[in-house]
Amino acid sequence: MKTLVIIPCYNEEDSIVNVIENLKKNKPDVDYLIVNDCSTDSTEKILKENNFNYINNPINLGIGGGVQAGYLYAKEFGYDIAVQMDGDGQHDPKYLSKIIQPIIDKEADMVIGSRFIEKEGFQSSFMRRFGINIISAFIFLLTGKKIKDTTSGFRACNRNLIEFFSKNYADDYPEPEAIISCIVNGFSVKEVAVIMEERQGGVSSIKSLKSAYYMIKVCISLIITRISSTKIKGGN
Amino acid sequence: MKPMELVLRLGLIFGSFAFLLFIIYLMKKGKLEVKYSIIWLAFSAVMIIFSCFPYIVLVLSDITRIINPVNFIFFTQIIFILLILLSVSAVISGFSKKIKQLAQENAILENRVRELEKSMNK
Repeated sequence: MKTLVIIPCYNEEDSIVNVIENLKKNKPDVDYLIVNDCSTDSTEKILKENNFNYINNPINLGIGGGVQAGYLYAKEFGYDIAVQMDGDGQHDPKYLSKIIQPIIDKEADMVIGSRFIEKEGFQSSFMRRFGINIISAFIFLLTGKKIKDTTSGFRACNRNLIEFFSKNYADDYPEPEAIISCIVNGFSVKEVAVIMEERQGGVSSIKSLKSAYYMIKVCISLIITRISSTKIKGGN
Repeated sequence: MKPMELVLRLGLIFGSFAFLLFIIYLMKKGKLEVKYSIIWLAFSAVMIIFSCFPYIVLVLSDITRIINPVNFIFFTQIIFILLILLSVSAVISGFSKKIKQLAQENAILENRVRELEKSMNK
């Protein structure tokens, strides 16, 4: 199956080359697309010099808009599977096959690489985990589905979801919202265990000062997404 | 019921007509689109009615138990302002979605052009 790895990238000049070389080495049979979201450092120059496949957003769209551009590309070029992977080296390409497999087997529409199933590797800070748990409980409350790693940006989805995401994808902090909009629109979500690294460079899209705003925004958008669709179909 | 002051009445009449003329001027110049002008036109129409027929204001403020009739006018204006602000936020949200789509399409097109140029130069 034609698979595209979407790598959103904002100011990742330190890590992006490693990430791509690592990807090519571990999984040479997949295509990749780097979404350069208007980086202010030399990321674009590096992408050009290394002859990587990338798109340049003319304006900064944020992680959500950037990833959505990737899904749009996957839709236009007829990919069957799209995988999201961060450009900062947190996600190890050797788990790609593991994430993609449930989609090939038609076990789920979306597969999330979760660092909390086997609790190995980089587990992020206590406060981060606390926030992730709150979102997780919130999603359970709204949909009855247990998703542990709600903010994981390491996820794969099938053709139906590629088309869905190219039309509807949240803007600022889209990971939890994408999960819930999948569930309420009748797509099935599955988590598989992966081990994540600490980021090699760049900064998280969730900064400590903004975390309160992040939590409020996520909770509101989860509720709105939940009430804007009434059909919950049983997944997996 | 307290009659409204003559000065206030004249001020309101003058102000509401001037406001209407300004809206029409902007529309004529093409600086205000019809679809965004409707709520402003409704606003100024209500203000003109209130200033020309203050009896309506007296009756309405009596019904709503608002002691000072001019407070009823303020209340109406605040409601309109809230509606207009909300509609502006909705319009901006629509624009930001459209801008996002344009940027994404543009980014993909740029990639296609780049790949095309690369394959032609080979």
